[in-house]
Amino acid sequence: MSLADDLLAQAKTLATIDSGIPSQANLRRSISSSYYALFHLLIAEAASRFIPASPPGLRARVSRSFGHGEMKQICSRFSSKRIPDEISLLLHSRISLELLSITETFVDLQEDRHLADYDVGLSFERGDALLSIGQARRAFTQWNLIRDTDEATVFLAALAFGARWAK
Amino acid sequence: MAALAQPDIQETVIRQALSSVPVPENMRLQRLEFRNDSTGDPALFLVFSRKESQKSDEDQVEDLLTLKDAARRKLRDLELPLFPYFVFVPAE
Repeated sequence: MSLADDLLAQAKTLATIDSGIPSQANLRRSISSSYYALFHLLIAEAASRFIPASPPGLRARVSRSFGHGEMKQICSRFSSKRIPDEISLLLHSRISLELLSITETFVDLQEDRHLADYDVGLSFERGDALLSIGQARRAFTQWNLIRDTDEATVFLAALAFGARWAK
Repeated sequence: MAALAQPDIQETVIRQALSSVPVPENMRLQRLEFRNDSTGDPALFLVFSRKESQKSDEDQVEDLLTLKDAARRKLRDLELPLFPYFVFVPAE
Protein backbone atom coordinates (compact mmCIF):
# COMPACT_ATOMS: atom_id res chain seq x y z
CA MET A 1 0.00 0.00 0.00
CA SER A 2 1.35 3.45 -0.88
CA LEU A 3 1.87 6.06 1.83
CA ALA A 4 -1.02 8.08 0.39
CA ASP A 5 -3.40 5.10 0.52
CA ASP A 6 -2.17 4.24 3.99
CA LEU A 7 -2.86 7.77 5.25
CA LEU A 8 -6.36 7.71 3.79
CA ALA A 9 -7.07 4.41 5.51
CA GLN A 10 -5.65 5.83 8.75
CA ALA A 11 -7.99 8.83 8.47
CA LYS A 12 -10.99 6.47 8.29
CA THR A 13 -9.74 4.40 11.21
CA LEU A 14 -9.25 7.45 13.41
CA ALA A 15 -12.66 8.89 12.53
CA THR A 16 -14.53 5.73 13.38
CA ILE A 17 -12.45 4.06 16.10
CA ASP A 18 -14.40 5.52 19.05
CA SER A 19 -17.74 3.88 19.70
CA GLY A 20 -19.18 6.72 21.80
CA ILE A 21 -18.35 10.40 21.62
CA PRO A 22 -15.25 10.53 19.45
CA SER A 23 -12.00 11.81 20.88
CA GLN A 24 -11.08 15.26 19.62
CA ALA A 25 -7.50 14.10 19.17
CA ASN A 26 -8.62 11.24 16.91
CA LEU A 27 -10.84 13.52 14.82
CA ARG A 28 -8.10 16.13 14.48
CA ARG A 29 -5.53 13.55 13.43
CA SER A 30 -8.06 12.07 11.01
CA ILE A 31 -8.64 15.42 9.32
CA SER A 32 -4.90 15.99 9.15
CA SER A 33 -4.34 12.53 7.63
CA SER A 34 -6.91 13.17 4.90
CA TYR A 35 -4.95 16.23 3.82
CA TYR A 36 -1.61 14.45 3.99
CA ALA A 37 -3.03 11.58 1.95
CA LEU A 38 -3.71 13.92 -0.98
CA PHE A 39 -0.46 15.83 -0.38
CA HIS A 40 1.62 12.65 -0.62
CA LEU A 41 -0.38 11.28 -3.54
CA LEU A 42 0.46 14.33 -5.65
CA ILE A 43 4.10 14.43 -4.56
CA ALA A 44 4.57 10.73 -5.31
CA GLU A 45 2.99 11.17 -8.73
CA ALA A 46 5.23 14.14 -9.54
CA ALA A 47 8.37 12.45 -8.28
CA SER A 48 7.74 9.23 -10.21
CA ARG A 49 6.97 11.19 -13.37
CA PHE A 50 9.92 13.59 -13.36
CA ILE A 51 12.66 11.99 -11.28
CA PRO A 52 14.48 8.79 -12.31
CA ALA A 53 14.32 5.80 -9.98
CA SER A 54 18.11 5.66 -9.88
CA PRO A 55 20.11 6.45 -7.83
CA PRO A 56 18.08 5.04 -4.94
CA GLY A 57 16.86 7.76 -2.61
CA LEU A 58 16.80 10.49 -5.22
CA ARG A 59 13.02 10.55 -5.50
CA ALA A 60 12.63 10.60 -1.74
CA ARG A 61 15.09 13.48 -1.47
CA VAL A 62 13.39 15.50 -4.19
CA SER A 63 9.98 14.80 -2.63
CA ARG A 64 11.08 16.74 0.43
CA SER A 65 11.39 19.91 -1.64
CA PHE A 66 7.63 20.25 -2.12
CA GLY A 67 6.12 22.98 0.05
CA HIS A 68 2.59 23.23 1.39
CA GLY A 69 2.29 26.94 0.68
CA GLU A 70 3.56 26.73 -2.88
CA MET A 71 1.33 23.77 -3.65
CA LYS A 72 -1.65 25.70 -2.34
CA GLN A 73 -0.80 28.68 -4.55
CA ILE A 74 -0.51 26.47 -7.64
CA CYS A 75 -3.82 24.75 -6.84
CA SER A 76 -5.49 28.15 -6.43
CA ARG A 77 -4.24 29.20 -9.87
CA PHE A 78 -5.58 26.06 -11.50
CA SER A 79 -8.96 26.46 -9.82
CA SER A 80 -9.58 30.06 -10.83
CA LYS A 81 -11.82 31.01 -13.72
CA ARG A 82 -8.99 32.77 -15.52
CA ILE A 83 -6.12 30.37 -15.81
CA PRO A 84 -2.77 32.21 -16.00
CA ASP A 85 -1.04 32.16 -19.39
CA GLU A 86 1.91 30.10 -18.17
CA ILE A 87 -0.57 27.30 -17.59
CA SER A 88 -3.21 27.80 -20.26
CA LEU A 89 -0.68 28.00 -23.12
CA LEU A 90 0.39 24.43 -22.39
CA LEU A 91 -3.10 22.99 -22.36
CA HIS A 92 -5.02 22.09 -25.47
CA SER A 93 -8.40 22.44 -23.86
CA ARG A 94 -10.06 23.72 -20.75
CA ILE A 95 -9.09 22.25 -17.44
CA SER A 96 -11.23 19.23 -16.70
CA LEU A 97 -13.80 19.24 -13.94
CA GLU A 98 -11.80 16.49 -12.27
CA LEU A 99 -8.63 18.56 -12.03
CA LEU A 100 -10.60 21.62 -10.93
CA SER A 101 -12.12 19.59 -8.17
CA ILE A 102 -8.78 18.10 -7.10
CA THR A 103 -7.17 21.53 -6.83
CA GLU A 104 -10.10 22.91 -4.83
CA THR A 105 -10.03 19.90 -2.57
CA PHE A 106 -6.33 20.38 -1.91
CA VAL A 107 -6.86 23.99 -0.80
CA ASP A 108 -9.90 22.97 1.24
CA LEU A 109 -8.17 20.11 3.02
CA GLN A 110 -5.10 22.18 3.75
CA GLU A 111 -7.23 24.80 5.51
CA ASP A 112 -9.00 22.06 7.46
CA ARG A 113 -5.64 20.58 8.39
CA HIS A 114 -4.41 23.91 9.75
CA LEU A 115 -7.56 24.26 11.87
CA ALA A 116 -7.37 20.68 13.10
CA ASP A 117 -3.68 20.89 13.95
CA TYR A 118 -3.45 24.39 15.42
CA ASP A 119 -6.82 25.89 16.44
CA VAL A 120 -7.39 24.45 19.89
CA GLY A 121 -10.51 26.59 20.34
CA LEU A 122 -12.46 24.53 17.82
CA SER A 123 -14.45 21.41 18.50
CA PHE A 124 -14.83 18.87 15.72
CA GLU A 125 -17.59 16.38 15.02
CA ARG A 126 -17.23 12.98 13.40
CA GLY A 127 -19.02 14.40 10.36
CA ASP A 128 -16.19 16.90 9.85
CA ALA A 129 -13.64 14.10 9.66
CA LEU A 130 -15.86 11.99 7.42
CA LEU A 131 -16.30 14.93 5.06
CA SER A 132 -12.52 15.39 4.80
CA ILE A 133 -12.16 11.68 4.08
CA GLY A 134 -14.91 11.85 1.46
CA GLN A 135 -13.21 14.76 -0.24
CA ALA A 136 -9.80 13.10 -0.24
CA ARG A 137 -11.21 9.79 -1.45
CA ARG A 138 -13.02 11.50 -4.30
CA ALA A 139 -9.83 13.38 -5.25
CA PHE A 140 -8.01 10.01 -5.43
CA THR A 141 -10.70 8.67 -7.77
CA GLN A 142 -10.63 11.80 -9.91
CA TRP A 143 -6.85 11.66 -10.10
CA ASN A 144 -6.99 8.12 -11.42
CA LEU A 145 -9.26 9.33 -14.21
CA ILE A 146 -6.90 12.07 -15.40
CA ARG A 147 -3.43 10.96 -14.29
CA ASP A 148 -2.32 10.00 -17.82
CA THR A 149 -3.42 13.25 -19.44
CA ASP A 150 -1.35 16.25 -20.50
CA GLU A 151 -3.14 18.47 -18.01
CA ALA A 152 -2.09 16.16 -15.19
CA THR A 153 1.55 16.40 -16.31
CA VAL A 154 1.37 20.19 -16.53
CA PHE A 155 -0.24 20.33 -13.11
CA LEU A 156 2.42 18.11 -11.54
CA ALA A 157 5.19 20.14 -13.16
CA ALA A 158 3.67 23.31 -11.76
CA LEU A 159 3.54 21.74 -8.30
CA ALA A 160 7.16 20.64 -8.61
CA PHE A 161 8.47 24.04 -9.60
CA GLY A 162 6.22 26.05 -7.30
CA ALA A 163 6.77 29.80 -7.38
CA ARG A 164 9.44 29.46 -10.07
CA TRP A 165 6.77 28.20 -12.46
CA ALA A 166 5.47 31.72 -13.14
CA LYS A 167 8.87 33.11 -14.24
CA MET B 1 -15.85 43.20 -11.83
CA ALA B 2 -14.35 46.20 -9.99
CA ALA B 3 -17.58 46.57 -8.04
CA LEU B 4 -16.96 43.16 -6.56
CA ALA B 5 -14.09 44.66 -4.58
CA GLN B 6 -16.68 46.24 -2.29
CA PRO B 7 -17.84 43.77 0.38
CA ASP B 8 -21.50 44.90 0.51
CA ILE B 9 -21.87 44.52 -3.24
CA GLN B 10 -19.93 41.27 -3.10
CA GLU B 11 -22.33 39.86 -0.54
CA THR B 12 -25.41 40.75 -2.57
CA VAL B 13 -23.96 39.31 -5.78
CA ILE B 14 -22.76 36.17 -4.03
CA ARG B 15 -26.09 35.55 -2.32
CA GLN B 16 -27.84 36.05 -5.64
CA ALA B 17 -25.53 33.56 -7.35
CA LEU B 18 -26.03 31.03 -4.58
CA SER B 19 -29.80 31.37 -4.54
CA SER B 20 -30.14 28.81 -7.34
CA VAL B 21 -27.92 26.25 -5.64
CA PRO B 22 -29.91 23.39 -4.10
CA VAL B 23 -29.22 23.15 -0.37
CA PRO B 24 -29.97 19.94 1.59
CA GLU B 25 -33.20 20.32 3.54
CA ASN B 26 -31.50 20.20 6.93
CA MET B 27 -29.16 23.07 6.02
CA ARG B 28 -29.34 26.80 5.56
CA LEU B 29 -26.85 29.45 4.46
CA GLN B 30 -26.38 31.41 7.65
CA ARG B 31 -23.83 34.08 6.74
CA LEU B 32 -20.86 35.04 4.59
CA GLU B 33 -17.56 35.94 6.17
CA PHE B 34 -14.89 37.90 4.32
CA ARG B 35 -11.63 37.24 6.10
CA ASN B 36 -8.21 35.74 5.58
CA ASP B 37 -7.69 32.00 5.65
CA SER B 38 -5.12 30.34 7.88
CA THR B 39 -2.28 31.22 5.51
CA GLY B 40 -3.25 34.89 5.32
CA ASP B 41 -4.87 34.82 1.90
CA PRO B 42 -8.14 36.74 1.46
CA ALA B 43 -11.00 34.26 1.41
CA LEU B 44 -14.73 33.86 1.51
CA PHE B 45 -16.26 31.61 4.16
CA LEU B 46 -19.79 30.35 3.55
CA VAL B 47 -21.24 29.41 6.90
CA PHE B 48 -24.08 26.91 6.76
CA SER B 49 -26.13 25.84 9.77
CA ARG B 50 -26.94 22.17 9.82
CA LYS B 51 -29.64 20.29 11.72
CA GLU B 52 -29.21 16.64 12.59
CA SER B 53 -30.16 14.33 9.78
CA GLN B 54 -31.49 10.79 9.68
CA LYS B 55 -29.44 10.05 6.57
CA SER B 56 -26.44 7.74 6.68
CA ASP B 57 -22.97 9.23 7.12
CA GLU B 58 -22.15 8.40 3.49
CA ASP B 59 -25.28 10.12 2.19
CA GLN B 60 -24.60 13.21 4.30
CA VAL B 61 -21.05 13.43 2.97
CA GLU B 62 -22.38 13.06 -0.56
CA ASP B 63 -24.88 15.89 0.08
CA LEU B 64 -22.12 18.17 1.31
CA LEU B 65 -19.84 17.37 -1.63
CA THR B 66 -22.67 18.07 -4.05
CA LEU B 67 -23.42 21.37 -2.32
CA LYS B 68 -19.78 22.44 -2.42
CA ASP B 69 -19.45 21.56 -6.11
CA ALA B 70 -22.61 23.41 -7.10
CA ALA B 71 -21.78 26.49 -5.05
CA ARG B 72 -18.20 26.63 -6.30
CA ARG B 73 -19.40 26.41 -9.92
CA LYS B 74 -21.59 29.45 -9.38
CA LEU B 75 -18.90 31.38 -7.53
CA ARG B 76 -16.26 30.59 -10.15
CA ASP B 77 -18.39 32.37 -12.73
CA LEU B 78 -18.23 35.52 -10.59
CA GLU B 79 -14.42 35.50 -10.84
CA LEU B 80 -14.07 36.49 -7.22
CA PRO B 81 -10.51 37.06 -6.05
CA LEU B 82 -11.35 34.95 -3.00
CA PHE B 83 -11.19 31.23 -2.47
CA PRO B 84 -14.51 29.97 -1.11
CA TYR B 85 -14.43 27.79 1.98
CA PHE B 86 -17.42 26.07 3.57
CA VAL B 87 -18.11 25.96 7.27
CA PHE B 88 -20.85 23.76 8.71
CA VAL B 89 -22.10 24.60 12.18
CA PRO B 90 -24.83 22.92 14.24
CA ALA B 91 -28.19 24.72 13.96
CA GLU B 92 -29.19 26.42 17.23
